[in-house]
Amino acid sequence: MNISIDGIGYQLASKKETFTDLKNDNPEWDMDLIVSKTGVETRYVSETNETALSLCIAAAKKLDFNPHDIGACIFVSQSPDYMLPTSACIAQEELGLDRDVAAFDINLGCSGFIYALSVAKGILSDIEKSKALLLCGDTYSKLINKNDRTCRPIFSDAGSAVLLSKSESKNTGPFIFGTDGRGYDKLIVRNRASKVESKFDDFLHMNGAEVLLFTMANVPTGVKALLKKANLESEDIDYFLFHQASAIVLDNIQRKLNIPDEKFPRNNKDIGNTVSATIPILMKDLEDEGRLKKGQKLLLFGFGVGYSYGGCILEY
Amino acid sequence: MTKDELFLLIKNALDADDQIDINASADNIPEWDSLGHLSVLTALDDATDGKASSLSDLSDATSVTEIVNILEAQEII
Repeated sequence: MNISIDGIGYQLASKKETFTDLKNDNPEWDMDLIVSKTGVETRYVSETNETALSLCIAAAKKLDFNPHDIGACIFVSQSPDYMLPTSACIAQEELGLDRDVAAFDINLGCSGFIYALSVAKGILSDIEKSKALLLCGDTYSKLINKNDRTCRPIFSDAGSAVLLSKSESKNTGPFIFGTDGRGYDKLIVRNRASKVESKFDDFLHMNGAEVLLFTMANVPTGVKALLKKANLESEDIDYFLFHQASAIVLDNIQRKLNIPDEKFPRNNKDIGNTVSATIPILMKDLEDEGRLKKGQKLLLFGFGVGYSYGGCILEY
Repeated sequence: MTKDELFLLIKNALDADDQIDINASADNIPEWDSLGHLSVLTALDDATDGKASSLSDLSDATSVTEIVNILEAQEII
């Protein structure tokens, strides 16, 4: 059994923030330099009453589906509403889904969409209901110090919702996954869960150089491994859809893999890095532009916090 | 790669006004901040066919001397 994507919706956080706003808060920042490295000119920041879950639910409500058809609801986020319960259980109630639904969270960041696709494919093969909802969202801005030049210019808040259904005709996969826990503290928020480390604060911290090295060492080789596993050549792929990390990361990946611009879409300039939501948001934007069409062969690849990465081939 | 080629690579990556030599570092090259260091890393990665990305010590190497030592240990220069 395979899966197909029946619809994608997304909801950006309500407060739009430009690089001018960042400059006003931090006059010493060289915004031309920052934008040249990040590629991000506009980001979206959640208000106090907005959460990753509320953004994902708003995104899901943009989709056309019968709640009774949904057999699984998967919420991918590192910004849950509560330590417990599972946010997906709240989504089940708020979206009016039946009670015989598998609802659970996946705590992953930028690789999370790929993992959730694979999990959803597995669950759909085991249940009678025909559809699954895959919600990916984060509100990292709530975790970022306003003076943090590494994190604040990149990350953006949003929620996405992807409607999946069983399919006999579409091909999904193969998948590849990878993890390197040696990098667990290179992109980290301490002191907001069970472990207390009193010498650290509770903001998001990223070692940009370390994360960049991880990406450069693992993503291009991972893409090549995925293509080999799928017995495909680069030319067989219509679009390479990467996690929209930052310009310097995307530039390196594109250069190393020699992917032409027309097959390497980006939208981080106007949206920023929305963590696990970047790939579904990119797909939705491409579809709205008329560029993404049914039947096209896509290579999706997410990577980041963990360290963790995952990729798959998907026939849209 | 020779040391002179490395110096030029770092100068270009940083778009630095000053000449880069063995004594250059983040302490005396204004363009060599955390963002500039990312450019150094990607330039090194390109110039070494990806070998540099496997050298995690480079993440903290914000002086030419440190970079030279790391690359010499790997016989890249």
